[in-house]
Amino acid sequence: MKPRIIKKEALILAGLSFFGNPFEEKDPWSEENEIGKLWHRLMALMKEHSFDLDRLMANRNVCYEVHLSHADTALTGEFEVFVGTALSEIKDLPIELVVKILPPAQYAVFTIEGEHINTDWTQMIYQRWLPQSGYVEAFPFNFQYYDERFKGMDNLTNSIIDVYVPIT
Amino acid sequence: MSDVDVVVKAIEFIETHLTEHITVADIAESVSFSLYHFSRTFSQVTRHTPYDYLMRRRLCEAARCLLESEEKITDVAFMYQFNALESFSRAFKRMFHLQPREVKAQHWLDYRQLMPRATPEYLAFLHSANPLKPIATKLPAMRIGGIAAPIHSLDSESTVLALWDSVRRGMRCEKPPLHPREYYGVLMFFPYSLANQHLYLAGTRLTEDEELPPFFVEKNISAIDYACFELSKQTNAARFTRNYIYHTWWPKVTKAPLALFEIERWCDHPDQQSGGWHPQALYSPLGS
Repeated sequence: MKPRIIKKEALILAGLSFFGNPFEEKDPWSEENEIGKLWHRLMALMKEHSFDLDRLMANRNVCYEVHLSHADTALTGEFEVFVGTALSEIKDLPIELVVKILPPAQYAVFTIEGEHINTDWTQMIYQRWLPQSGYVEAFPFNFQYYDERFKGMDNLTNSIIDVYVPIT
Repeated sequence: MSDVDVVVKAIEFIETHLTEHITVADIAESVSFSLYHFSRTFSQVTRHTPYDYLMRRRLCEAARCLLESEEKITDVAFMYQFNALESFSRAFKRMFHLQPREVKAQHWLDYRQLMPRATPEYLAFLHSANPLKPIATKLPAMRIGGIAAPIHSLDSESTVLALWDSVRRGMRCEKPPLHPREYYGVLMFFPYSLANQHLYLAGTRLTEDEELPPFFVEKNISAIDYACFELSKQTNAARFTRNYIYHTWWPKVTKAPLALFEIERWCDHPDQQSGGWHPQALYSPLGS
């Protein structure tokens, strides 16, 4: 697992956010976890507001899933999940969307392919690669970058995603 | 290593550290998983987040300690890693609907709420094809006639089967009904009864004008809504489904204490070799 090291300007994202344990089965009548629900809500909103968002989106084919830790994440397993799309400017956004600005950072970018997308690559990155890389985590977040190479959860075999880990 | 094996190993770590300060990250590390991947795997297998499982197990062992020992409430709270009596009491009340001091004074708790350690067999059952999704069902008002006896544990299968044997032998002496008979087991739980004891009525549904057979007792149940869990033919399906209802499903659908009765529907499997007389479904009352 060898990453590319790149520098990236601040990233302005608009989307939806969840805080807690996304895998907690709150509603035992439903089979979808909170991350799946976020994506479905986001896709519905983007479709509903497609005309307004088209002018603002940096790239219609790119989406982001950000995982953000906080002080109690290690203790309870709770963290923030944000799913969204990059904006070229913050202007006239639909009220349902929230904005997240990721700081300028240096990133290690890992490309994950096929069924590996469903494996524990976080452990490979943070417990194996990072300790021996000479870098440390710059911010308590990472994000997954989805573009046209991602074909959907039902077609992981032919899918590719990038994982961005801020380092210093 | 399968997901169930990973979770079994994680549970071993949790259970041996209930009285120590551990984090979810520590548990994930004990099985060499990232916190994210571990939380997902653990939740999928157990239907609890790792933190929820840890806290529930700590509270259950703390409750046992209050019931079975002379330890002070404050000492029990600290032993199970609550750093203040107030936070222990709040969490305890939320789980058991009673204050720790009430449990200690009364020496009583609805034992169904004491979540046992998740065993490999139980986890394999949860992870199997049976999705354990209940169906909201309304049962009509029923007259159940049968034989009742106190049962000392939900696992007393032989006592329950002996009751059913008597009921079915009794029914053979009666005039056959126009429709096939429906058989129900009614479990009645009484507040402040002896720990681990309930009353079990094994019986058949009687028509409005049907006479109660000799030596039978009758219980009338009004028409209410139930969550109906169909039972698979797997070994221990009823026991494991109950475990799931009490500790996982019920706390998620309501904050109320467990209902004071439950119903089982029994039937005779056509293929006697593969099972015979067994509970086919569990009905958990949802309200009137």
